[in-house]
Amino acid sequence: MSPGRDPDEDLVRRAGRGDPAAVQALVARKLPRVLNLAGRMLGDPAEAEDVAQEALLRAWKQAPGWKSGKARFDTWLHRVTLNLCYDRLRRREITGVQLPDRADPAPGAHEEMQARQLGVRVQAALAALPERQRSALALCHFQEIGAMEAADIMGVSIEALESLLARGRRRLRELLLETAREEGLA
Amino acid sequence: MSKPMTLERFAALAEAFGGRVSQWPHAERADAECLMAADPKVAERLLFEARQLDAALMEAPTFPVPNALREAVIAAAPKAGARAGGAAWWVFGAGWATAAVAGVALGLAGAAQLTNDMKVAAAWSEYGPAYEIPELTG
Repeated sequence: MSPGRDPDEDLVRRAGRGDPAAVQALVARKLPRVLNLAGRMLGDPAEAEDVAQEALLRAWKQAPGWKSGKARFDTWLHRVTLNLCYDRLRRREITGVQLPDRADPAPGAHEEMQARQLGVRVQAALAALPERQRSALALCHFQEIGAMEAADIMGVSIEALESLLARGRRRLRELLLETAREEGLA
Repeated sequence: MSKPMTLERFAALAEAFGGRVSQWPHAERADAECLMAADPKVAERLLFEARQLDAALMEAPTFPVPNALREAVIAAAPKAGARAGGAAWWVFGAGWATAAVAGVALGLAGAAQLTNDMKVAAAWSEYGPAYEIPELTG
C-alpha cells in the first residue's frame, strides 16, 4: 500500500533519541491499541499484557533508526503484535493449554456480571472464531483500521479480507444467537 | 463512468465491513452513497442489520492499561545518549534479577508476580534477536 505521510514518524524518531515527552506520547497513543488487539486475539488479559510489552519493546529497539517505508509505524506495530499473538495461539495448540474457566463472581458482583453479560458472550464468541477471522474483525472493527491497511497488516488481498470479515461476522451472529437461545434470551 | 453498485454488492459490503459506510473500502464508498440516495429504504434495512451486530460488538469488554505495564514500557524506552536497544535489555535484566532476589527474600510470598516477571523475561529472551521482525523500510 502507499502509506502517505506517517503521522507517527516524527514521534517515533524523537522517542528513539530518548525524548521523554515523545516516549510518553507514543505510549499513550499506542499501548492501549496494542493491548486491546492482543486482548481480542488471546482473550486473556495477562497474556495480552505480555504481548503488548513485547511489541513495544520491539518498537523501542527499532525507533532509533526508524524510517517509514512501505509500512507506517502503526501498521508495523499491529503486524508485530499480531505475529506475537499467532505465536502464542500456536503454542497453546501445541501444549494443549486451555484458558482457565472464569472464576465464580465474588459476592456482590452479580449485578456487575449481569451488566457485562453481553460483553462476555461477545468475547466468548470472538474467541471461538478461527484466528484469521478474529484478526480481521479485531483490526477492522475494534482497531478501526481501514480495509487496505488491515489487508496489508494481515498480508492478504482486499478480497480475502472481505471474505474473512463476512464469514467472521456471520459466524459471530450465529454464535450470539445460539448462546442467547441457550440462556432463554431469544 | 463506473457501473452503479448493485444491491447485492451493497449487502456484501455491509455484511463484511458493518453498518458504517465510512468504514467501507474507500474505492466503494461513493458508489454506495449513490445507491443509498437512489434506494434509501432497502439500503437502510441492510445497514440496520449490520448495525445490530456492530452494536453487540461494541459491548465486548475492553482491556484497560495497568499502570505497572505503562511504567514498565516507559522504563524500557530508549534513553538519550544510550546505545540503541540497550535500555530494554538492561531494564528487563535488572527487573528479573530484582524479582528473583525479592522472591527468595520473601520466601516466594510474591510468587505470582515473580512468575509473571520471569515469564516476560523468558519470552523476551526467547523471541528477542531471532524473532522475525516485519519489514521496516521500503
